[in-house]
Amino acid sequence: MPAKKDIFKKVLLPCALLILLVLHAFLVDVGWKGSETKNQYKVVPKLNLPWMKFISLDQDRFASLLLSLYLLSARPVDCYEWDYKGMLNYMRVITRLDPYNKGPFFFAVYFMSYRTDSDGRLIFNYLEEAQDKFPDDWKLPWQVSYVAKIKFKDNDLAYQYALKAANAPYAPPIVKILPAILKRNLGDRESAVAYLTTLRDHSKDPKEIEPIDEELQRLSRGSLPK
Amino acid sequence: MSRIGIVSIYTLQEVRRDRLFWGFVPLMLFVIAFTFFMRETSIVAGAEAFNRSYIALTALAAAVFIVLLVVSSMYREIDSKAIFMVITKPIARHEYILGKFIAFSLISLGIIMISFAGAFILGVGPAKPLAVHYILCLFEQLVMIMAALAITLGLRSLPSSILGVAGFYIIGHSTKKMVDIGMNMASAWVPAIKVFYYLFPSLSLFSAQAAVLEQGTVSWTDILFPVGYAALYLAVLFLIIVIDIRKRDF
Repeated sequence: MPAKKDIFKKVLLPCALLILLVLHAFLVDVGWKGSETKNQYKVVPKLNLPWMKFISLDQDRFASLLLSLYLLSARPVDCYEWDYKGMLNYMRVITRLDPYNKGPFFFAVYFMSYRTDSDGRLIFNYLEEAQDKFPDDWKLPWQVSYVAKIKFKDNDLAYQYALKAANAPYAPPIVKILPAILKRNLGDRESAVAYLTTLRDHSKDPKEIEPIDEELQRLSRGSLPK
Repeated sequence: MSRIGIVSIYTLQEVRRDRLFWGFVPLMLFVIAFTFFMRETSIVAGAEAFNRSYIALTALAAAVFIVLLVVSSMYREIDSKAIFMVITKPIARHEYILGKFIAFSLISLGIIMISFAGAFILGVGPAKPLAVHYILCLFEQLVMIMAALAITLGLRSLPSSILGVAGFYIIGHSTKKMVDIGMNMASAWVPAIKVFYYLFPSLSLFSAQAAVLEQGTVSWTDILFPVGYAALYLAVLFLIIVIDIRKRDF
């Protein structure tokens, strides 16, 4: 019996240890693969200098340049995914310190609209702040409307932003008729016609009236150009 | 009562007499004070800084505290030869180790429950992700307790044991990152790094911090894999201890 016990201790225990270590190596791989497939936003591009130029140099403002360096230093270094809440906090710091810097808002539209989960939707709260600062700007709501429609597939939100863009002064005719186009694509021809008719009644510019008439004719024909 | 139970009770009585054990109260007070301080340091994200600090500091403080307790208790027993009083009794050495492990696990459970209650009261996050996170923390602590037992029994020196366990903890939390960095920066070193990756535990698996802080979805099944993994690694460490001390006369 003692010999048997000795074999157990000398041979079986080290063998069991080896088997457990092999199993451990297997589980380590499975565990990390599992966590990587669960986190679908694992690999995203890092913040880099060309993007910073986009924020800083669009307005030729020294403050913007300086603040973009702040953003650069505050970036989540080599992270696997962006922390949207943290990023937006930094963006808000920039817009508080330099209230008329549109760069961060455009940055949010272009580079933070890849994620369409609840975190991704946070950019819309941030972009609402741009509306208060730049009520006459049509470019930003127009682009947000595009992002809402194409990336978030949210037609209502796209319509709301399209309406904001259309109501801004100096919006080009194509932007002015955008809400009608969105309504038409949703199959709501009545609202599209009502919107265009009202717009035509209040417009005196022939350059505006022409595309409105074209769109009204399309609606009456029932054709749906893409 | 079984022999394992007797060793556990004996260990708990010893720990209660240890001054280090009562250091838990000032340590937790420091953690809470530091968490509030971190909230004040943030200009725009005070609440987030507070939550992050609480989650990270409680896990770290709990790990440091339990490791110091295990190492000091085991070292004192070996150094004062008190261990002979136990191992010369009709008790198998694996029973002695299991008794010690159960005693420290109970202390760890108490610490984790206090940390969870604190997080819940301070509103660090929703209850379910918090519960999942702290359950995972408990399993990480169990691995650390067994590792501390293995390292202290192996090295039998207080500074070396503390350094050894600290190294184990740090490597355990960075195995995946080391491989990722190696892949990007020095691919020739990846096979060498993978040795660490496969030998040391992946302690980063024992965390649901992201779910707590971002109020993400978390389910009870998220615990299953880490628990199975912890059980396997505990078995590995237990076997190492059993093989190491089977003929040791300390």
